[in-house]
Amino acid sequence: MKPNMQGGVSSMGGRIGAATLYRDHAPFIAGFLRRLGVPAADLEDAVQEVFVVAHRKGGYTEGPALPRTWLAAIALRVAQAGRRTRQRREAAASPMLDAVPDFRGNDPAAAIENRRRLDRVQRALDVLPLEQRAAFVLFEIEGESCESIAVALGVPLGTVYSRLHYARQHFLKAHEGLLDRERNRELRKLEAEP
Amino acid sequence: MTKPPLRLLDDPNVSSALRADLELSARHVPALDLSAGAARLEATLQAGAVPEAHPDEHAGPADGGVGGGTQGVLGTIKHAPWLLKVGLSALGVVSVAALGTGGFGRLPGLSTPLQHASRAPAPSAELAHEDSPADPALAPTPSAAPPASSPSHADAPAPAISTVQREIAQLVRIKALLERDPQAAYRLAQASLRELPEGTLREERAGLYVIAAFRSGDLEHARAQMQRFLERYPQSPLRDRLLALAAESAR
Repeated sequence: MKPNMQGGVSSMGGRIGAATLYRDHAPFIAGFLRRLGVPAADLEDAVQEVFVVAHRKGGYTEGPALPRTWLAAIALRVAQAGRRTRQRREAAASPMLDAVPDFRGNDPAAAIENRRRLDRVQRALDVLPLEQRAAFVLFEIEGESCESIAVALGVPLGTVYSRLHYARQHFLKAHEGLLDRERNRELRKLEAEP
Repeated sequence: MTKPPLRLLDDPNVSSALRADLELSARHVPALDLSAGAARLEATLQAGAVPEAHPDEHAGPADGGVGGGTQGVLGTIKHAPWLLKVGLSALGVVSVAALGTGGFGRLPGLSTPLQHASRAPAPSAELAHEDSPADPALAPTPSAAPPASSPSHADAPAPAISTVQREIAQLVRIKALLERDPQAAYRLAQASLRELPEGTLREERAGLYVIAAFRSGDLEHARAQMQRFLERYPQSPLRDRLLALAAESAR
């Protein structure tokens, strides 16, 4: 039985249609795409593309890959294609983070601090090649297992380990560098104060 | 490296600053209008403009494996007005001349009047490896560029066109031309691959390119392109259809 046009769950074979996948996983995919460097301005279109492709593939079929990592593999390809298109267009880069992060309930100072920290993570992620970044985000931030990532990306488990190994090295170095720069800036500011 | 790595968040040696940053990042979700996004997706799926593949199906739909027919196209048009001009002109419902250049505004990336494609000479370029400049009339435009506003819609905001919407529009147009003007379909498919060499729906566009090549009568070229297509997309739903075309052309 194929998924219905609305992309609902079919009654056989553990298949999940695109609409259901969207409802359950769109926020995850949006976050994943942002961390892969998709600009905020392109985010909604990119999310749509992921689920349109998921529909074209017949929806998710129960198997070794989990729905989240299966969708993440599609999102990685969408991000890769989008990056090439953007490079061709030579468009100016969008701000890395959403202009107005949603930190309802926080005071403004905390919101600014949170934004700075998120920006730091994103900047450190930006130094990673896309495939390393995908593995890093899925494992370190989203808490997916290496086995699930390997199945979804269609690579051997050892490749995931290797990508994570190098991604972590580069990420830690970049993150530490950013922290140092911020500390130095703060120090200079303090020294400059009368 | 064979040992599963320890997550940074589980590593006691990780600095508190890094731990705090990663924890915050894990909690952060970008702003996304879920209900609007779900409605948009549903509209796209209901329109049927995106074919659905099934793991157990290798043959494409009877009409060629791409697109969802006029009903689907017109359904999509409700949600993407710029498709109206694409769909209607491609299907011959309304002539390009009747639409004019100012009626609906310039199409995103499909600004070429249909007549140019129809009278274009037989192509000879390789699949997605064309180095020569395209026919100026078919010159691609930036993939995400919104259509220029028309006088009648000067105040209306230009619709945001995603790459995949653009690809769908191109597929609709190429498919509609396949029967009545395969050479025009061929030219459009070629221009489409040149403009968006790695789009989400590249497989479908490349498949139609090969079909159009067969229909155009350039059989040697078509067979060579088919080989390349099948090497790249061995599981394509268009596989059987292409092989049938190749067998038919060999008779």
